[in-house]
Amino acid sequence: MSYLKTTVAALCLSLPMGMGIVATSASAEGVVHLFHRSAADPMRLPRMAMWQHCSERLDIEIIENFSPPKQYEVQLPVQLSSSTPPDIYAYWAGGRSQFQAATGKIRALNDIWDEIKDNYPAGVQATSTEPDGNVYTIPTTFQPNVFWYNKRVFAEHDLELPQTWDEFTAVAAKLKAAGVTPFLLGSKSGWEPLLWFDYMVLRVAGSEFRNGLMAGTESYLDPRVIEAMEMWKELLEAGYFNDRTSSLGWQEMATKFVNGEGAMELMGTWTVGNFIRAGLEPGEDFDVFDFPPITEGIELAVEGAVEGWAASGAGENTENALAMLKCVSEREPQELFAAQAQRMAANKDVPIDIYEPASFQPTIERFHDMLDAPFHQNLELATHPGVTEVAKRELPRFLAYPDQYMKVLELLEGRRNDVFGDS
Amino acid sequence: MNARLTPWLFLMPAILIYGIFGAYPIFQTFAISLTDQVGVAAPGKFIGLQNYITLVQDEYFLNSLKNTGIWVIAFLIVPNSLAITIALLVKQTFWGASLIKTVFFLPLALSFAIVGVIWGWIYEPDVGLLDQLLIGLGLDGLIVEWLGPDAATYSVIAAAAWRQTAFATVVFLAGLSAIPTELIEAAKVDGGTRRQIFFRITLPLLKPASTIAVSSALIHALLATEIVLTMTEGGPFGSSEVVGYRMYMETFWNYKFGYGAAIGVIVTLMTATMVVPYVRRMAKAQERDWS
Repeated sequence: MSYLKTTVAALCLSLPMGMGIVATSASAEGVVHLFHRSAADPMRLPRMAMWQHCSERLDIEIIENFSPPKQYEVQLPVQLSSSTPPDIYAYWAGGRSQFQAATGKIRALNDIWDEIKDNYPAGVQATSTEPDGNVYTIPTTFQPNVFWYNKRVFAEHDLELPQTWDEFTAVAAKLKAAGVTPFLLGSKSGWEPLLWFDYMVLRVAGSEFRNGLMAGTESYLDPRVIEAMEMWKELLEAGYFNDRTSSLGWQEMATKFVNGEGAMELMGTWTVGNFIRAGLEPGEDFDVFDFPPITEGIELAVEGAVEGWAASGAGENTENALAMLKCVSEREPQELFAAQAQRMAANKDVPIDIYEPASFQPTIERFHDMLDAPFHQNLELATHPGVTEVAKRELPRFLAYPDQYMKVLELLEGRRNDVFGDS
Repeated sequence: MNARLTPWLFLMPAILIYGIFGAYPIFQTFAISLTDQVGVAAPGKFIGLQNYITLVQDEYFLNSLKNTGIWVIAFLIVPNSLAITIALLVKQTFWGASLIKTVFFLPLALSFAIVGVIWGWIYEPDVGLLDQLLIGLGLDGLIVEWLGPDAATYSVIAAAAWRQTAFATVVFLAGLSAIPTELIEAAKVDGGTRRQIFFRITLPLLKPASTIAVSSALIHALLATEIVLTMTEGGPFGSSEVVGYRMYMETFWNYKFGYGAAIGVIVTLMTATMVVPYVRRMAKAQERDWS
């Protein structure tokens, strides 16, 4: 009897676990599982407003899952490896997607892209097509990186906007002599100096070379990259940048900009909220200008980020996912997102007057004009993540120790060879 | 037959759970570490020990290994020494002792990630609590870039040690409570000084507690990742990177699952090599003491 009791007890204890192992989840028709990176409601709600619009129009239910950005990076590969991966997930266009494709968890969207690509300006279209010729993400927002300058500081020191590299360095010298830090730059998150590196390479060597560098066919030890780094090094050694760069992130840079501690910063459009919230009036107190030309004859390409959505193509809801992705490429859902999040929509038909305050709209118009120029995804999103890891680690070192620029380039070249092979 | 089977039947659920969630992942990780697996879509090609050979030549990995070594040494000494001192202090009965205990135990309620966020604010340049405190005390000269390349590792360790000290204090306090007061009183009657009582009676009788505190410190130091991720992301320039963070980067950032698994195996071996002999030695010592 006691044997029977113990056997039953052991079986009862084991059974729930066994059931757990064999249990599988099923998803109903008319459903998509959506996974995105949103730290809090101010970004999550606008994204979901965009998706809800398509959900209602197509009668497809959304099962939402989201994580803050850092956790998203960790959780996404894990979710994609499961038997129930998300049908749609947030990702970036422009180079990095093709490496995600190598893991087999991102579906090429060329079939639907042909139908919807005219919703986008030429710059976004070009960035969305990966070096392998495929389109993996449907863009919903683009954010160019530009020079923001404090107009009050410029007026106080009687400075004109620089149009050439010489004028640019002359403005910096004048500000430095007046005790103002010309350029604010931090490296707390690692990616901030990548924006400078991208523009220096683009202005010295041009778009074609930069594309090759991101695709792994050009070398980080190319004389043009060395020249770009040496020019940047001269600015650093002249004391045109703030000190304690490694403790400064993009938000601290914005604070210093607002306080007039620095005159200029190279940053994405997402920083403008910091300025406006601090009471700065667009056009009056701050404005933007293009990174100045360096090598004669090189076109003024724009660098920034295009964010979008990818399909895993692995679940049974792939058709629903494709229908939803086609839908969010349209003006109406993107307008909902852009109006609520105050992030620039990638769709070319979203009107300018939705952005607040109205005084910021001329700046937005200028950003749209930039898309007539070649648009490049920033380094973090444009090349193999293995290379971006080294860039995010070593370019901050360069800010602190400019004389180590060749070591930084050698490490980048080493990683390029590692992930792309010698070429 | 029945008598022999019965204990196994009761053990079966635990063995199954451990086998599936403990042993199987370890063997699976070792198997993956012998491949060049990229991402999670398909298994990689068998490459033998190549990942391990590459690791011993990998500058970034060796740097993270060195930092983990610093973590281990600091984590063994700082939180445990502080915890014994605090436990001895708060064990005394005096007005406000409960409040002091609560203050010391509070960090225990926080995860390492939250601790990282809090200490990130404390270390904030100029406006952070630490800089403001030093400025207020007229000690501006002591201000350094707390999360800069020279100090980041130690600043992150200090933040993590704050929480670990709380844990160790609870453990040592429980250990102290288990020491019979008659022993201490007898020693006093025999003329034992405070120092003699501490080193010859209190400390030896804290062996069970110290086994837990030291093992926990070792494991947390070897696996420290979330607090590094929250506070510095391994930076600046990889100066605060530890092996756990390196494993995360290789696996989830660079998609090198085989290589990341090799780091995982090394971390497991390091943990086992350090923790298991220590626990065994302490267990034997206790057996000796009780026999």
